[in-house]
Amino acid sequence: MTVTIHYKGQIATEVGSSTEDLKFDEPIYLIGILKALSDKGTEAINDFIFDEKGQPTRSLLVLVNDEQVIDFQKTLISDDCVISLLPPIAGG
Amino acid sequence: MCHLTVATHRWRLVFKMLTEVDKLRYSWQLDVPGFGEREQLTLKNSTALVTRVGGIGGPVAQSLAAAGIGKLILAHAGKLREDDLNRQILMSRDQIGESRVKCAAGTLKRFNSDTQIEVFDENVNNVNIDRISSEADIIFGCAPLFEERFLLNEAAVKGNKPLIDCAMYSMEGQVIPIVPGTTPCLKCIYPDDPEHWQRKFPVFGAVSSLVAQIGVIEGIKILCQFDDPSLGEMIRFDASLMNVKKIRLLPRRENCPACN
Ligand SMILES: [Zn+2]
Repeated sequence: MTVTIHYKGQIATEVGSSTEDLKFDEPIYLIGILKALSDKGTEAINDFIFDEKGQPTRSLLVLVNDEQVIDFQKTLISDDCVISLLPPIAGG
Repeated sequence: MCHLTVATHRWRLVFKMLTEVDKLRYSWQLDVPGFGEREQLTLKNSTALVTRVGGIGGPVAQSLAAAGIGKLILAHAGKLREDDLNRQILMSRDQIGESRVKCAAGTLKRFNSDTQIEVFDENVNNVNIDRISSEADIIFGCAPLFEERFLLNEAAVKGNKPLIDCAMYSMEGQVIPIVPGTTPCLKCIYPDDPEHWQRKFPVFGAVSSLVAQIGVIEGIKILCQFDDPSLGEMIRFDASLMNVKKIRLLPRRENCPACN
């Protein structure tokens, strides 16, 4: 199955792209996708997603199909889902 | 100008009525369905705090003045620099080296001399926040640092007044209308201090202006109880793709240190 990731804000700058398609063999929980992104990304990407205890950072907004979700362990991602990662921004 | 002495929705003893000049000046917006003299009167008797008056805060202040806000409180420290001028539209090149907030106030005063303007040549901090924010009916958060935005959030919650958090990065922008007790506050949305945020960020003036205009529209809706403000939502746009979305935010955090 294919999951589309939309990177926003400073994460997009760090990744060097605003979107990416990831392939998985079967539906996967959101936390698994975040770990996959962290594993394949830079240390900076990991720091945007996980804190020093390995927990998802609470100020990163994660959207699935444009709806904010908070329970990454229980949110099952299926084919064609779009996941957006919105780090906090404060440009004025 | 006609004055009535009444208790208004917030503290003021002198209630200003609409003059014939007001009715002429604002006649085009008074034709907007749902926005009439009652709403214009509310604007005229309202005070907005705008921090700061840069790429977002400058056009926020200008559009509030254009709409007929009664009073603007502007807070922004420092002197104008050459590299401010791609976005800080209330200032001009011949003013480099002068106080940013005073330049902004001068432009606004020439633009709408009926809008009262109070300036603070300082950035909001935990010492001056009460002094700067106490009179405001609504706060527009346009600062480049989260420390300042969180202080504005605390002031909004403490004073039970709306906060319009306006932010941008590169080609993206977002507006979060916050009404204490009703919507999540900024600390509900960002409970941890965003360590990655940096003071310098990529910015086109047109993008920061776009954020500002969305913020002003939402602020006027809330102040005047007009139309349908996006409460509990984040309005987010990506100017690269030219898409605008409203994102439904999670409810207030039960253990939020700021609003619970
Ligand atoms: Zn809160």
